[in-house]
Amino acid sequence: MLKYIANRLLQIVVTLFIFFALTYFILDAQPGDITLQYVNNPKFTKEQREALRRRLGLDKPAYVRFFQWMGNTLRGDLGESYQYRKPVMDVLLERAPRTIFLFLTATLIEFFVGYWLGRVLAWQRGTGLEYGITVVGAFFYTVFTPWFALMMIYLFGFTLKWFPIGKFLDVNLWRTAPKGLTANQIFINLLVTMTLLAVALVVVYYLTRRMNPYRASLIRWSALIGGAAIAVGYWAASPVAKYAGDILYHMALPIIVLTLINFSGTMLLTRTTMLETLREDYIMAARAKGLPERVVRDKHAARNAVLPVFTSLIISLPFILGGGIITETVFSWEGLGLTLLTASTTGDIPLVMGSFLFIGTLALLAHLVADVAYAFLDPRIRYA
Amino acid sequence: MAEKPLLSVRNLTMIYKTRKGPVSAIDDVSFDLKRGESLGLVGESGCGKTSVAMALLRLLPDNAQITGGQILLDGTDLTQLSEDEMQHVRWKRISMVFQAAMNALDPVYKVGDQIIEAIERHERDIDPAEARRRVEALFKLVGIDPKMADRYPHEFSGGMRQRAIIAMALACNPDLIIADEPTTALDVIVQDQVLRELRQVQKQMGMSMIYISHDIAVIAEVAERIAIMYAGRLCELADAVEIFKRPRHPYTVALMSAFPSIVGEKRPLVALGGEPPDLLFPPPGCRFHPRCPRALDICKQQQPPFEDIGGGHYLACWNPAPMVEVQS
Ligand SMILES: Nc1ncnc2c1ncn2[C@@H]1O[C@H](COP(=O)(O)OP(=O)(O)OP(=O)(O)O)[C@@H](O)[C@H]1O
Ligand code: SF4
Ligand SMILES: [Mg+2]
Repeated sequence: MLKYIANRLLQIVVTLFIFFALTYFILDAQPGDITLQYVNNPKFTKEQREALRRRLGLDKPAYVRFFQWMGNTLRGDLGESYQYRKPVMDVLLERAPRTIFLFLTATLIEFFVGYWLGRVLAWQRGTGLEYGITVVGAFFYTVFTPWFALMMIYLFGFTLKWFPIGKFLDVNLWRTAPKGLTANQIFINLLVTMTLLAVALVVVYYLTRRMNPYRASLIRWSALIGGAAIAVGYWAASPVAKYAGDILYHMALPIIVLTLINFSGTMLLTRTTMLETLREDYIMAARAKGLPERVVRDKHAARNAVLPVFTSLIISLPFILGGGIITETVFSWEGLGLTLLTASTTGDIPLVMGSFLFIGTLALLAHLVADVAYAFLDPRIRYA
Repeated sequence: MAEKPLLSVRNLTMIYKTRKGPVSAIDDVSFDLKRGESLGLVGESGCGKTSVAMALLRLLPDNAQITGGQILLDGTDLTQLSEDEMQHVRWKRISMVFQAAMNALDPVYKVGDQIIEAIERHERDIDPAEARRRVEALFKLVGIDPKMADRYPHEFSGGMRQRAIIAMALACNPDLIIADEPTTALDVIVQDQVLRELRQVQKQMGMSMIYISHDIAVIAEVAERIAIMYAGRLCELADAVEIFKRPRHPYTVALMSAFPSIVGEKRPLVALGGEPPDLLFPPPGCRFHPRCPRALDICKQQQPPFEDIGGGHYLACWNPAPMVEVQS
C-alpha cells in the first residue's frame, strides 16, 4: 500500500508538470496580454505600457518565463497577480475557502440526497412514486443551469425575498464586525468544523460496521445528529455567531440550486446500480437467511451499490475545488472559479497558474485519498 | 401408525405471470418428508425444481404467485404466514444451499461475519464469542481452516466457497436443508467429496434434506427417497431402491435407461424423442403424453392422479410400465 501511494505521488508530480507546461503555453498563445487592459486608459502611454511589459518580464520568450515560474514556485513563491497587485498566494488563500466550503457542502448534500432517493427508487420499482421521482429527477438533470439558477434567484430572492441575492455576506452587517474579523476566518473555521465532523462520522461508521444493523444505524444517526448539534451549539455560542449565520444564510440558495441540479445524476446512478445489485445471488441468500427487508436493502444491496456511486463522487471532486464558474458567476460568489475566469480572460498569467496549481494539486491529492478509501470500501481491491 | 411428517406439501400450484401469459411452473405437487429423511428431486432443466425450492422458502420473484395448495411445516401452513413470520422460518427452520452458490456470499463482508449474521438474526441474545466458536466448529466440520472465517469471499476457491455455504446452511441447526444442485459449479472430484460430506453431516445432525438435481446418478448417492418431476408435476415418488428396481412411470423408465446401472454394464440409452413442453402452454391431460411411448387416448384428455400404488410408491400414470424387476 505504501509503495502504491509513493508511486501515485510520483505520478502526480509528473502529471502536474505536464499540466502546467500545457496550460502556460496555451495561455501565452492567447492574443494580447495584461497591458491591453490599459489601452484605453489615457494616463498610460504606449511607452509606459512597454515599460510595464518589460517589468513583468513579458518581453522574454514563453519557455524562459515558464521555467522561471517553475523555479519560483518550487521555492514557494507564486509571484504577484497582475490585476490585484498582490501576491497570488494571498489572492488564493482568500478565495479558496469560500469555494471549497460552498461546493463541498453542496456536493455532500447532493450525494446524500441522491443516494438516499436512489435507494428508495430501486426499492419502490414499478410504483407511481418511482415514476414521479424519476420524471422530476430527469427534469433537473436536463435543465439549463444558468436559466434555472436565475429563475430560482428571481423567485426566492427577488419575489419572495426569502434569501439574499448574490454575494456571500451582507456588507452592512459586516461593517459592524469586530476589528480583525474577516469572512475568510469564518470560512476556514467552518471548513475545519466540517472536516472534524466528517472524520468523526467516518470513525463511527468504521467502528459500527460489524454491528447488528439496527444498532449500527441507531448509533450512526445519533452520531450524525449529536455531532451536528455540537457543531451548531459551538457556533451559536461563539461571539461571531451572527456573522457565521449571515454567511450560511447567503449560502442557502446556491446550495439548494446546486443540489437540485446535481442530485438526480447520483439518484439515477444509485437506482440503476441498486437494481443490478438486487439481482445478485447474495441478495437472495441474505433474504433466505431471514434477514428483514431493510437489512437486506441497507446492509447488503445498498452497501454494494455504493461502490460506483463513490467512484462518481471521486470524479466530481475537482469540480468542488474548481468551483462551478457558472454558479459563482450567477450568484456573484467571488471564489476560485470566478477568479480563474477573470484571470484567464485578462491574461493575468501568474494568477491563472497559481489557481491551476492549487486546484490541480488538491484535485489529484483528493483523488489519491479517494482511491485509498475505495480500497477500504471494497475488499476485492488491493493495491500492490 | 405413520409418524407425522416434518414437511407436507399438498397440491402446491404456482404460476409465473408473464406478458405472454401464466407459466405453469408447479402444478398440483404433493409430497411428504419425514424428520431426518433425505428426498431427491430429479428432473430435466426447466421442469420447476428450483421453483419448488423457492416456494418452500417463499422467496419467489415478484411475478410468481402461489395459486393453490399448502406447505405444512410441522402442521403450520407456510403459504398463510405473513412476511414477518416467514422470516423466522427462513434459515432457522429451512435453510438452503443455492444453485448459484458461487455468488451467494456478499463480496464486501468477511465470510465468517456473514454466517454470524444469520446466527445472530435467529438467536438474538447469543454471545458474540459463542457465535464465533460455532462458525469455527462449522468450518472444521465442512473441512475449511477455521482461520478462513476472517477472509473475504474472493479469497476462497470454488470448492471452499461451496463448503462455506454449506456451513452457513447448517449454522442455525435447521430442520430442513434444501440443496439445489449444490455441486454443479464444481469439478467432478470436488463435487463428489462435497456431496458425500453433505450427506454425512446431514445424517449426523439428523436433519431432513431435499436434494435437487437433474442428474439421477448424483441423487442416487444421497437420497433415501426419490421424486421424479416433469414439466411442473411430479410423476413418480418412491424409495430410491424401488425407483431404481421397479420404475413404473414411462418417463422414469426413460431416465433409468439413460442411467448406467450402478453395478452392471451400461445399458443402451432409450432415446426420448422431443423436448419438454413450454410451460406457457402445457399439453392437456398428462403433460408427458407428446413424448410418451405408452400414451393412450385418455392421456391426452385427463390428467392422471398422483396416487399411492402401495408401500409409499406414488405414481401418476394411466398406463404404467409393467412391474418387472429391472435386472442390474
Ligand atoms: N421469474 C420467472 N418468470 C417467468 N418464468 C420463470 C421464472 N423463473 C422461472 N421460470 C420458468 O419456470 C420454469 C421452471 O423454472 P425452474 O428454475 O424452477 O426450473 P429448474 O427445474 O430449476 O431448472 P434448472 O435445472 O435449469 O435449474 C421454467 O420453464 C422457467 O423458464
Ligand atoms: S399417463 Fe399416459 S402419457 Fe402420461 S406417462 Fe402415463 S402413459 Fe404416458
Ligand atoms: Mg434450478
